[in-house]
Amino acid sequence: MAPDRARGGRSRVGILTHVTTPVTTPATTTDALRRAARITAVAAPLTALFAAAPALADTPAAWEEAEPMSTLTALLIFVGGPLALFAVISLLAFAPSILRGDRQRRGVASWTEPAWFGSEVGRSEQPGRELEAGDRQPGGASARW
Amino acid sequence: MPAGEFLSETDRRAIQRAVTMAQEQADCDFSVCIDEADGDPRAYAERLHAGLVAPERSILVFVDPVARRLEIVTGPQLRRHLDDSEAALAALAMQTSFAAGDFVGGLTQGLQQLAEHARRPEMLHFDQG
Repeated sequence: MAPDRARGGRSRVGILTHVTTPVTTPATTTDALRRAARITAVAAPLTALFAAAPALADTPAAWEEAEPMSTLTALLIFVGGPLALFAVISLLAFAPSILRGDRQRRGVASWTEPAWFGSEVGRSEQPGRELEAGDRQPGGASARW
Repeated sequence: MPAGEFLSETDRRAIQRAVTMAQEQADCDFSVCIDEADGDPRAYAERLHAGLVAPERSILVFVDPVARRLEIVTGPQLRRHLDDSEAALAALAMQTSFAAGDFVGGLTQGLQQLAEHARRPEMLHFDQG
């Protein structure tokens, strides 16, 4: 509260500041907004729920009654269907390795003769020779599995 | 084990086809040798590579199925375009396939990868659009 000195300083006693804090009424803007938001948050879903009442209605009387699905049929369709799909897709994924068999993964115990692939002009007649000092170094990479 | 049991006739044809395609693509010599190495596989592979007709522009993929080792040897002239890290990537791809049991697929993929890197890139000049 502005001191009464603003009125030209005629009063001798003025209120510098309130000692007690006045109780805030919802007149402040932020509080009003918060209250409104709270009410809307509760009211909106309830309104939507009751406004959707037509969805709870039954099928029109003119339609013929459908037979309820038996448990067996339901089980077959909803459980058997996905399982069958699962099996088919797994088979398609693993078929190549099943057909190929296990032999190539296990490796071999011994090897009798070398198997060469490549253009025939690539292989010279003489057996492999040691690298000489003057040769530039070949490169490459190694790996083991 | 004779090579025929490990590699069927279909496998051998597929590998030969892959080698031919790699050679056409990269315009250098590719060789694949599947054999049991006599001693250290790396040294053995380099000896074999040096025994090729034109080793400086040849790539040898050596596979030892007994020791389960794979060696790629690249000729010095090819190392300009196909450096060792690219060869290591191809080796890694092949190693993964071999470990899963796909021998032919691994070789095919590895050869293709090597051929792509070894191919000399076409020179595109600014003034030629």
